[in-house]
Amino acid sequence: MSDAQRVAASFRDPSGFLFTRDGDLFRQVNQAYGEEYDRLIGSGLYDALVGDGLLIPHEEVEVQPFGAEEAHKIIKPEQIRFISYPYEWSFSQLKDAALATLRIQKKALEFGMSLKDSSAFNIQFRSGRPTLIDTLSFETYRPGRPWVAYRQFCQHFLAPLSLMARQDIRLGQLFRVYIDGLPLDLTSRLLPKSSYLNFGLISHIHLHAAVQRRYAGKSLEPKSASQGMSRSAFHGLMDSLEGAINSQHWKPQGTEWGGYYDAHNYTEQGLEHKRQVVSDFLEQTKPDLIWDLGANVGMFSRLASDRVAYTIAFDVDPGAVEQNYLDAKRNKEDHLLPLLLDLTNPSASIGWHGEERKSLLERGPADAVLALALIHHLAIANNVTLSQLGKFFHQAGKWLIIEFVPKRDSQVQRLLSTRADIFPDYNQETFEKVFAEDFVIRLFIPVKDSERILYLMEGK
Amino acid sequence: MIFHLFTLALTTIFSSPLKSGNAYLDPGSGSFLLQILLAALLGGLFVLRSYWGKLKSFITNLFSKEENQEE
Repeated sequence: MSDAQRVAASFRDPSGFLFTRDGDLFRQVNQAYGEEYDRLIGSGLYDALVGDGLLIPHEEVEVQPFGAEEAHKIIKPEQIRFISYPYEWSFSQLKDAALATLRIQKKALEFGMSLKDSSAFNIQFRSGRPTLIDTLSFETYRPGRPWVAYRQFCQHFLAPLSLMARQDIRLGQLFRVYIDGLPLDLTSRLLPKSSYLNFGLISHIHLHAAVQRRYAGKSLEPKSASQGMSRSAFHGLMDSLEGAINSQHWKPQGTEWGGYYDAHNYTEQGLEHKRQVVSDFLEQTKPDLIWDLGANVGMFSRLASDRVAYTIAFDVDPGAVEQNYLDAKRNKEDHLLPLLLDLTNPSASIGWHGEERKSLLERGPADAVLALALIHHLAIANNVTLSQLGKFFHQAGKWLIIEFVPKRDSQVQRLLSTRADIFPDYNQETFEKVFAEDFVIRLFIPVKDSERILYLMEGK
Repeated sequence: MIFHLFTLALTTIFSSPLKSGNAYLDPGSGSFLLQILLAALLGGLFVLRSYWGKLKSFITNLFSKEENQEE
């Protein structure tokens, strides 16, 4: 008997579900949804969306279904390299995901279908572009009937984007608490008064929240499908939502960004040497999947992604992640995925049963972890011990390319300038000794013109 | 007041729920209602927008003709 397991996040929609068998991911299409699935394929919508890169391609396969009696078909979707969540996306990533959802909906309408959900979690970045991964999200469009996923779209996309753009970029993190999108009444309260000057926000957030409050729990659905919402009104709604999303803008403070790499500590020669050493380490280990922790705007991530290794560039600064994403998008870098992550509190496993959305480490391990100019921030600014750091990196990836930044370094001096030095163990000797518990140190090379040392370590 | 009017109007056209085969989301009564409220406006704007392109090119042509005449 093969080892089949239903995916924990896949339970809401009775149309089907995801399961894994012997390490492969499959989606079961249930009989109840068979007709709609056949329409998706037969109408040409599937081909149109896959052709535009908006829907994950799949193949129909002959494998044993998970729940045999209700199976219509089993499909095998193309695997996503790294599943990311909306609370890990930068502003423009969420905005692009919203616009992709509306493009998909408009395309569906051309083929007589409509999205029956619009969850941001159904969008994943595939080769750098937002793509719908839930093939079973379509239903036949019924003229007259309002959009069933309208509320979800506002909660998952417009609400967080408007708060990030107009109040504070950090409010996007509310998505971690409100896993089905931000409540519209809360969003309405948190938005500044100036948001009442934006037609999209007045109607889709403020008025929406008021009508929700007024009609909470009351049953009001169209008696006849021909009543209510004309086709042009339905299209008008999509246009209006698109306009509302497009009118949300955010630029990191100082607007022109830049300066992200001005704060580093290298001479030109030192920086070039560091790039060379990291490149050499990557050449020796040839990893396929890399996590660059503390990637900033991705200078070193690109040493990896340019070698066609799929690279996740994590950073805690929403401005750095935003710039990194926009650069990657502009340059069509399909092996680079910038994501927002606070390493002192990495994404946890959340949702129903605490297992719907996976924690960071559950989505690993990576083949290699880059930790450049990072550990002093964790050890000195956040009091994490070297031993804890070693254990964490060991769990995160097989290979570790890490930079040790000693106390003499001016960046560490800056961190210590406002606090007592309670870190007697923060030195090269202890670092090597402690990390040797979990890793074999393969190479170490001091960076020219600096106090710093680069290590290549292999997990034990 | 405005909500009372809408309620009155809507209860005349809405009463029993329409079950859709594959809808598993609760669309929310308020969210459904808002779409109906906005429908006329959004539909109107959509139709206007469809004609906007034609209107714009008509005006552009008009002015470019004038410019051509001035030259």
